[in-house]
Amino acid sequence: MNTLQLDRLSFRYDGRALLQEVSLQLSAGSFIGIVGANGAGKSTLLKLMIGLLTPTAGRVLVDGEPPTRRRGWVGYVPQGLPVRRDFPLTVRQLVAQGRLQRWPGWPGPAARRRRREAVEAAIAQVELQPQAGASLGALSGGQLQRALLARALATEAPLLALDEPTSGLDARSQALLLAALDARRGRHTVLFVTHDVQLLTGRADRVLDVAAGRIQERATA
Amino acid sequence: MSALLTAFLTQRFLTHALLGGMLASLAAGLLGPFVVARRISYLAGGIAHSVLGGIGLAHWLGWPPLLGAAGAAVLSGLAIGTIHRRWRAQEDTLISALWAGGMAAGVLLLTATPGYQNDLSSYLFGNILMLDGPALMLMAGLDGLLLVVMALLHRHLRAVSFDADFAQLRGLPVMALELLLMTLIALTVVVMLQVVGLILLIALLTLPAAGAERLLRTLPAISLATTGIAAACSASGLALAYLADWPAGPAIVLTTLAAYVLCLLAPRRLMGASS
Repeated sequence: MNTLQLDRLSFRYDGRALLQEVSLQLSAGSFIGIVGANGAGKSTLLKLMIGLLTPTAGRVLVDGEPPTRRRGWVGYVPQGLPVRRDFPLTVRQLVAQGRLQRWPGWPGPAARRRRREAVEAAIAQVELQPQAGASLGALSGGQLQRALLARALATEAPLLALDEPTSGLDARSQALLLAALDARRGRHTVLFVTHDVQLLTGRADRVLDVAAGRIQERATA
Repeated sequence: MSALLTAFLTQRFLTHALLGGMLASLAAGLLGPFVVARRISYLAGGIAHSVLGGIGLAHWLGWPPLLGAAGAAVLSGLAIGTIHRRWRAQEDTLISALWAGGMAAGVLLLTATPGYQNDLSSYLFGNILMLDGPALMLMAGLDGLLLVVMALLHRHLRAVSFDADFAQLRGLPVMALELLLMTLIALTVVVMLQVVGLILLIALLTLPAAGAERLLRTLPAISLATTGIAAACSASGLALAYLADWPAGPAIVLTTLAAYVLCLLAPRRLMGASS
């Protein structure tokens, strides 16, 4: 991915304009912070950018084409767990979802080894090796967020879209998660939604402030 | 005990019933864990009950009832899968409409069929002792189909069940996989229909899986345990029905319920938090 462009993007939900005619262009390899008050539309903006939501008007273009036409280009960390916490899945199985291909096949030994190595490397990057075989229900909130980040890292996608990944974490869990992200700096374009502007200090190349349906660029420190 | 074993081995209808129970247990083991993990037993119940409409139509047209059941199950599975994805806000009402509408149409068509006498209760509560060779072959064929599809796609179905957004971003055909899962549940309903009947089959589909889920931590392990629990409950329920002269379907469901209660009393996730 070289560029991600929003062209006069608008989005309405329940009759309310969450975003109005937003235009901007992001380049590859940058760390973009997305901030704003609760309900301002930060997560909506992120989901529009990666093609999980369809704009009411305007368009999103990734290297000149709609995001829905592209596959495997985003490593996504949702806000919170998508289903109940005791869904029967181990950390390793969760992270392996990041390597899942569109259609099932019978990969050869070399491909299987590469997949296994990518999964184990992603688990190691978030320092969850001791919990790799544990079920999700046995993890703390911080470990769970790191497991979701590992799944996103395992995709080796050019874009990481992280929706409030540090929300509700204690200081140590937050530091571990950010360290894993910092270690990959420059290898991905990062879209990082947060309500904690401090986290972006020294990290973000650009900070987008979502308020009243508009986006204003903030100065980075 | 030996008299019981001899009866099961020598009396053809009991042997068929036992085989039918095993085949239904395999289907329960393959799909039950998904129904429980996703908390969609209401959707599965909707599919099961609307099947009566297809059975009634088949009777009325003079077609084989199981053909009607299979057709109605698949159509109902696809409809419920679409409702689940597209009209989540109205899901409850729409599934209730399918549930009740299918049953009502089934009862009306069955009673309007000339010569129809007492088939209704066997569809509602099962008639495992009437299983014949062709019915067992059909059940085995459907089990084979379920096995092949699950062997190929269980990772995809698990990924979509856990996080449809992430699966979509990976490029997985989420809607198609959701509809496939509903279709597989529909076929499971057809496999179980004659064993416990459409009113009781939700118990065989969900209780062994719910019990296994309390003890184990991954879907493949839960799947194996579910098959084992369901098979043990089918066999012991049949034995109980034979010894006490009870109807077999309710006896199987009650043993399944007892097994579920035992699982509730066991320590949660025996094989839980290890690395």
